[in-house]
Amino acid sequence: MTKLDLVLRQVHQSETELGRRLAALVDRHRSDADAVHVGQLLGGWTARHVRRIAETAEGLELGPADGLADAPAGELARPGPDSGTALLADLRRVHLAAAGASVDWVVLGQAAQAARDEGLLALVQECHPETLRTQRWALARIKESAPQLITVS
Amino acid sequence: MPEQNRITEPWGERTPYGPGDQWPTRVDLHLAEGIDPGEVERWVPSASLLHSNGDAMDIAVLDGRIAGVRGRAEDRVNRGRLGPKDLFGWQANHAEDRLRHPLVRRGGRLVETTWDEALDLVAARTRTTLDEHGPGAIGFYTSGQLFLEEYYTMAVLARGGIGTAHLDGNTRLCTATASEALKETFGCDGQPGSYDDVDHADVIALFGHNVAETQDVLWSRMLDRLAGPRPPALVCVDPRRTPVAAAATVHLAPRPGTNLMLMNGLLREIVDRGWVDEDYVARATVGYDELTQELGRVTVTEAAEVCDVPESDLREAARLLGTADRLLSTVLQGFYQSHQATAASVQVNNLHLLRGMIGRPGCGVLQMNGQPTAENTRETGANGDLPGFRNWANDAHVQELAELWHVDPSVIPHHGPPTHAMQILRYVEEGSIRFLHVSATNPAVSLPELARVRDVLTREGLFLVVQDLFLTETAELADVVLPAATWGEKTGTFTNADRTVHLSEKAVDPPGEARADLDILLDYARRLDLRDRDGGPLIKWHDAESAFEAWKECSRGRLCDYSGMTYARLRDGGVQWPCTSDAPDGTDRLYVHADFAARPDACESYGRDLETGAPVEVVEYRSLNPDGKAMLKAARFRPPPEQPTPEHPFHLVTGRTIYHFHTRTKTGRVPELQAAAPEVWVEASAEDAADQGWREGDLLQVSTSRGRVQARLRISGIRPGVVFLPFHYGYWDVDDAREADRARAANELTPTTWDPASKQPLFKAGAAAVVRIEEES
Repeated sequence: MTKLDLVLRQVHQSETELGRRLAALVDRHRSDADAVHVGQLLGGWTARHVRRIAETAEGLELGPADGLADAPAGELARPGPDSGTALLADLRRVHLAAAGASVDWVVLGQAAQAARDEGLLALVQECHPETLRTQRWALARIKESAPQLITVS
Repeated sequence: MPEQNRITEPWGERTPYGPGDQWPTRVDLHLAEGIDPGEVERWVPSASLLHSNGDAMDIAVLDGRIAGVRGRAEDRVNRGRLGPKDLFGWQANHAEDRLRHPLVRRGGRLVETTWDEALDLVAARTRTTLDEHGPGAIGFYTSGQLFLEEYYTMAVLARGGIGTAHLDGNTRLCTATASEALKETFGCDGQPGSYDDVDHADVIALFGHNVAETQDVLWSRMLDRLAGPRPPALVCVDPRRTPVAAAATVHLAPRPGTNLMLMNGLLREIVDRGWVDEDYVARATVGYDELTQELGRVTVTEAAEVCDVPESDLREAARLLGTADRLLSTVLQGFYQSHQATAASVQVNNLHLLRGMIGRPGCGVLQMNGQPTAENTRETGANGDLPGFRNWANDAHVQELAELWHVDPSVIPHHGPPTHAMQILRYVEEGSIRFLHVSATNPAVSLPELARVRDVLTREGLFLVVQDLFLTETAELADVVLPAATWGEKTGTFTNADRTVHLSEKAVDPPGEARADLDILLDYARRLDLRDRDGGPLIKWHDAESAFEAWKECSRGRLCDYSGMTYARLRDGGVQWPCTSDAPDGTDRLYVHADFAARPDACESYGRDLETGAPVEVVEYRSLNPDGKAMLKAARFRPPPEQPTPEHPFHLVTGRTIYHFHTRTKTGRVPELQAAAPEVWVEASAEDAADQGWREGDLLQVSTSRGRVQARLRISGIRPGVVFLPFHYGYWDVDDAREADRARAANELTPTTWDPASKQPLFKAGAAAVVRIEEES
């Protein structure tokens, strides 16, 4: 296995992890419409990234991520007690997973440029911006939610 | 001449005119039966408070009562015309069941009390909530029907006094996407176009805007152009065959949820055919390469397939838009309340930027409002923004407000975007907002997913204050009800969808002890003893005119500049802002010289990710748009999340009728209007009716995973596969209607979901099952 293959494997793994975090967010916060609906949208992006990486790196037999649906499903529900702090924790996990995946995309992008691999570069250009947007969304939701969740007793 | 029946002829008689001519005058009048115009004692200037068109009128007064209305011939907006809601709607002021005394809840029942007791209770509860839980435990949910002076007072009270970020209007339901789309493209809210553009346009495009029913006098203006020499071509995008669609040159009825795809298809064709004003694009915009790159991803053929419209119609619409000499576009709820609302509405702005059609006669964008004073919630910061189109993420803007109000900047919450209405409701649901003040709106009928809303508003531990004219479905749930005066009973200004400001003066006294909303808010602020930094009263005004003067200072130097207006000037008729010493008669069109309010230090917003809603950071904005140009923003179509299924095979959309406003609080108490549309109905296509064996008048049950509603069938020209319910009907005028099998409020069915950028709820995004439960007898 080449080092480039290792990087592909790494980004496949980190996007899969991000997908799991998003699915957990949607699943645990069914009363938060924004978390559910945007979480589903972003989960769809991540699932597509994982699929595209697997297609691009056919020889590695990465396959689809286990248990990662195209978009995490589920209806809205009413809130349980103390859902707020758990929301911050799950958003934090999404943010960190997206940050990790983003770093992996940067590494892959740099390597693809150096190797003049246009197919890989196109993959990075397609997927990386969406991972960054996922990261920004999670941080924005944290910024918006934290004051209310922490200072209003 | 016999009086025309304005219920059956809502748009009145035609007064045809040609391009560039002034719209002829036609004065509409309606007085109480048996009263002759000569008997009227006084005519008091006002404008419509039952839709967003701002039709100017005089209120007839006889024996201390309102006796009718007459359109103002000289006003720029309507030149004398009035629609059916205005001709008849004033009678609601006289309704027997107006609230006349404050009410408090005792032993589970609302009972009459004094103003002193009611307001002391409200102020004391505010104070203890503030002391025990902080400003974040207090929320305000206001309206699109108060006056500018009232909103500004509320904004100062909430944002500068109490220090809560939780103040928004029900304008979130009607106009949030207009505001957001303008901010995304132009860096700042503010309507670029003018109603006068109707007089000059050779193509008028209406995107999800059934103007014939939402702003019927504006439709009269378009009908008069259509009846005159060299009429404009009309392009209509609407899944229903509305009066606009019937008059259109091209009618596109896309599959619900595909507006963005439709717009991308239209723009793709316009770019491909070379109908772009390259000079304007280069001079006035950023983002062209990114936009064309995104448009390159989808062909016109694919767009036509996804939207399920004939490809030839799509191309013909693009040809009309792409070759117009003077293009006017309007946008409303068909876009604002649908999937990818902001992204689709922004493409209409893009259309005008690509064609260089901004700031010239006939070349305008009108991102419309639904409610009469929605524009003012946006300007004054009662809508989830800071007053004067100021940017919460710009410390210098917050500092300006702090200096204006003599408060410490840290008092004004700006650690994040002001809280939007659906999130306010969420905080109530979670229990962190414990005090909620609701004014002039009826969330128990107008918000989506009513079963949830009722649970939230009756939550243990919530103190609910409702300020309104009637004991609405929401007021019935309140702990304190404050009786308010309304249009004709109080003085103030408001601004229509084309920036025209009107003064509406007090003509008669309110009933009983009811008081102007402004007076209630000023009294509340006094009892709270809100102070500025120097120990003086925070709110330094005492009536409408002094509040207006304070607002003028807040608006000075901003795009929505009122500093050149006075009440005296407004008595002569409507004036469009910005109105300054340099432009004392107002400004008909914005951005005439591509002079956008989009510089990083001036803009109201750095924008949002159109799909996730995440705010764009200042650094990114500065690098994207350092010179403050207009921004072409691309967006990718995604299929709507709630698609029809075998169990719920129909798209459900909700909307309005010309005869009613909001939840019929006023119009349902007006005999002519109530008789014109007395009960809820459901529209379906002839094809679906034939398939299902339904006939006109059959009682159908419409259900979603959230609830069910029963309504009689009207077979209409709606797109097959789509059903329509009007949203006006609630429960105040039926008995025991909460019984599930008699539910009639459309929002029993609608989903809790919103556009991530504008936070506007998506009332046109549900999947529904429809079955017949009773044949027409």
